[in-house]
Amino acid sequence: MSLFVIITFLILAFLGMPLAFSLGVSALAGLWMSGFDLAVLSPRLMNAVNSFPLMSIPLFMVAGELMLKGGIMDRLVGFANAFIGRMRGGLAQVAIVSGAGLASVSGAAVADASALSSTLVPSLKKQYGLGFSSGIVAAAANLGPIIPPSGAMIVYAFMAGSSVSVGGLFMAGVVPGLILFVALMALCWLIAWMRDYPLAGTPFSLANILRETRRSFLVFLMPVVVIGGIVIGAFTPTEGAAIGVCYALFLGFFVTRQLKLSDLPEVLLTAAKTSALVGAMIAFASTVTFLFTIDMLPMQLASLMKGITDSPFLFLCLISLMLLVVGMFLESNAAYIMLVPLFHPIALQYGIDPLHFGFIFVLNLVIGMLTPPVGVVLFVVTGITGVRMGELVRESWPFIAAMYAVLLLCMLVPSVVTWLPTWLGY
Amino acid sequence: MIADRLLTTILTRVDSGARLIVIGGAATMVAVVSAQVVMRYVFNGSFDWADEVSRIAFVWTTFLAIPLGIREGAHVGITLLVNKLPAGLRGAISRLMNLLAAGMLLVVFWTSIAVAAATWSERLGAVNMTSSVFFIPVILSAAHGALHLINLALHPLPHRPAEAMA
Repeated sequence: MSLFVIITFLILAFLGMPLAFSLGVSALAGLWMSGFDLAVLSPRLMNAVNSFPLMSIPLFMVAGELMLKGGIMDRLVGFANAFIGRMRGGLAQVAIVSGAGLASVSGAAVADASALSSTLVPSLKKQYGLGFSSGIVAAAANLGPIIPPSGAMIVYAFMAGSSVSVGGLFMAGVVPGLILFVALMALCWLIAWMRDYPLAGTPFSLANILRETRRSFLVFLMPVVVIGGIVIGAFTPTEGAAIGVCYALFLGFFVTRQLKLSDLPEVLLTAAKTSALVGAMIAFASTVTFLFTIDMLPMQLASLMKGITDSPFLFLCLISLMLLVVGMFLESNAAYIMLVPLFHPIALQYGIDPLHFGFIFVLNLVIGMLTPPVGVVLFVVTGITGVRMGELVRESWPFIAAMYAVLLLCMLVPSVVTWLPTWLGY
Repeated sequence: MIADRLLTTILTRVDSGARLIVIGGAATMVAVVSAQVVMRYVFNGSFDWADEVSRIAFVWTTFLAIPLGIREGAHVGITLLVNKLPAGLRGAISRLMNLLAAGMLLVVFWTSIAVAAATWSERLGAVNMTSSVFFIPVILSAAHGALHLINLALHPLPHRPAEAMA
């Protein structure tokens, strides 16, 4: 029966039916084939969404949107420019620092790609040309789901169940996120040096640094309050996200004064619609995973994997290879929703730390957002900057290679991922 | 023609209503969840209804926003293969897929009514309200979504070469 459901899903998905509805139709067909009462569908759909932790997804989206509407990009860019603008490839590095700053308040690569492309590419392309400029912002945007908070990690933790905490997974992303951040900056410096790009940023000045630090201090305080609060157990991720929304409202209305009351309905509606796309997939996938469980598919898959290899590292390599292929065709949220319930329990059987596996899974799919043909970040950047897809992909490869290098490091040295969450008691 | 106009009018009105509820639901989530944190740390107390009310708001917001995504063609799909097909065949497949998805949503609509009716007498723990309040958005969303998909089968969205993503 599982095979029938999978084949039905694949046929419908490749014929262009939205993935959420492909899941729904294949689940319905599976229920009907198995002789189940179709009335089980409705409670499963509702119960899949009726979750307090899942609420953090729209709330973090609202917080990120409010921060952007409130004009934080200007402050982030000013801060980065004051510190590193005058270095070799300084403006490119400003984009990476701004991307990391944005990642610490938003947690979604698509929103970050949109914000970075529209605000930074016009000035970047004057120095580096459109291709490299677009490649930089695409890479910087991909820091969004790696540095906490992260929408992708929330979806992963939700699908993995009680063995993975959102706070723990957030912390698992900190060290690899910082390594990647430094690697991207070094790469910008190297490429700028090799291509002999001119020095273009703001000259280094202590007064300017102090002024920009004061201007952006409250922006950087937000992740400290929100993520810090979650980590020390002061509030749950959902409550942290709601506090983030209140913080963003305060910042936008009283500090930057760029947020208007009339912006709020649009921000709430956009966040709700975007999170509903994920919610629809989670709802319909819940019936598919129910059928898989009845059919004992996870157990069958586990014995199949055990038959192939007993090595946890080789298992991680196989999963990474699979996600590389899956990431080429499937949007990342759909991949979390369909694959995490199948492979997370198997990883536990291999004795792999759940946070380690979770982070490797997330990083794989985040890299997939930057690789063709279904690299959603690539589509957002080409749509906004007008760069040709081929040129963007060519300019993005060094950054993608750096991300794969960090992925390999995390696979070979699990403590890179697990050290911080373990130290914090997760 | 009249049926077509009627469907468009209904969808326009229902979309406006759904948008208002979605905005209200999202605002309720923010207000209730943050108020709960303030209550805990400032007033050393809590609202015993906060969890249930915020979950009701979330379920309503999510399900009522799903059809709005259909209207905008925002639901993610794999268009790699169908984009390579001739326009006529692509249109026919798109219509068929929309009708199939609409059929699935109509089954969800019908079965959800039965489930809501069966649970009508059950009360929620903290709020004096029927537990069917969680199924009503599923019913509304399924009906609204099915209407949008039928409308899309009649009037497909313009062809988009790239993958769709909100």
